Amino acid sequence: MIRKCVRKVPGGKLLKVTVDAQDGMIGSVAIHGDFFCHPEDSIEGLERKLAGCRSTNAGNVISGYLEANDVRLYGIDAKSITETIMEAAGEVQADRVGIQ
Amino acid sequence: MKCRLIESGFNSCSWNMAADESVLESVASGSQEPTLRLYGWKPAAVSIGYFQGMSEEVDLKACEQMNVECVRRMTGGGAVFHEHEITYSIILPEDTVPEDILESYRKICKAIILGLDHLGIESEFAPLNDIITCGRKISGNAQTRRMKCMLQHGTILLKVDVEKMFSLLKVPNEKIRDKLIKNVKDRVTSVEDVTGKDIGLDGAAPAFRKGFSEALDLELTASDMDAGELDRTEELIRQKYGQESWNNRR
Repeated sequence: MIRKCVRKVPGGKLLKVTVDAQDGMIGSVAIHGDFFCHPEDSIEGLERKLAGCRSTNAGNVISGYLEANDVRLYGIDAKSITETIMEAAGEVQADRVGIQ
Repeated sequence: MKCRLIESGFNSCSWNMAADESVLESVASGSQEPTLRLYGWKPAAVSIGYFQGMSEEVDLKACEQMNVECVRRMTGGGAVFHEHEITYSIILPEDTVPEDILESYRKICKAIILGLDHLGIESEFAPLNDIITCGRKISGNAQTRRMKCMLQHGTILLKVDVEKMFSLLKVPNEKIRDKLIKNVKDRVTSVEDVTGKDIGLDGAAPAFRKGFSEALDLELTASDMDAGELDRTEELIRQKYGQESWNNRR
């Protein structure tokens, strides 16, 4: 099932995550938004890393990838990416933050 | 620091983004010194950030109808409508700017603030990447670091047509389009709004040449892109910025 979650990170930027997940397994993830990430292509690397993971393990995968690749994020962070993916994957019923 | 100054005039969005990358490559290779480029956009265009989806952010049909072109940038950030503005790109060796990204934005944006000051506009840096005057955004900026260089590009609004901008960008909910337009009108301004003067690209350029020179201690020498850079620009248009495979990548 493909679900999208949009979140305005408090004090940050807009994060739009589309997750294709089934029975707790992430098939694919797309992480979009008006944030900054250095190096830029590490977001695609993160998306590939998340494919095939259990959605409940997304936080560990994200944190591990960002640290291992010395990725710098601005406007979003590991926590907001994790929470948005978890919500899109149906793991949590977080309130959807409206767009400001 | 010696720095090349290139004033490219008005070009298409794909040419502008390709030229930025071409100059970045030549500065990174050492074949050219650090470079400041000032430019405009013709035809009007929408650029989206690297992490955005073109069809998600832009009403492509409206753009086609209004002869507005679209391009994905190599930098992050949001969707920007380029029409009446002065755009800059500054390419410097990475070791000449703060390692901390926020502090490097602050340093480079000082050049814009000084430039605006020369136009009689008091402004301030609004982290991460905006410059505001009287609480309204007048400049947005975006940075990338690669090949041991930093490229930062950004726009200073000379005039702004918010309704036109919104007719080209998708809004999350059509029911709130009017509210969003009013919201943006309250949060965005331009040189013309503040000073009452329609100065155009040529009118604005001297202020920002001076601002960059002062803020970054640059010894600017007027020049042009060399033949290799121009060829590479055309190659990058063919291979990247003029291609759906890049512009619709995400």
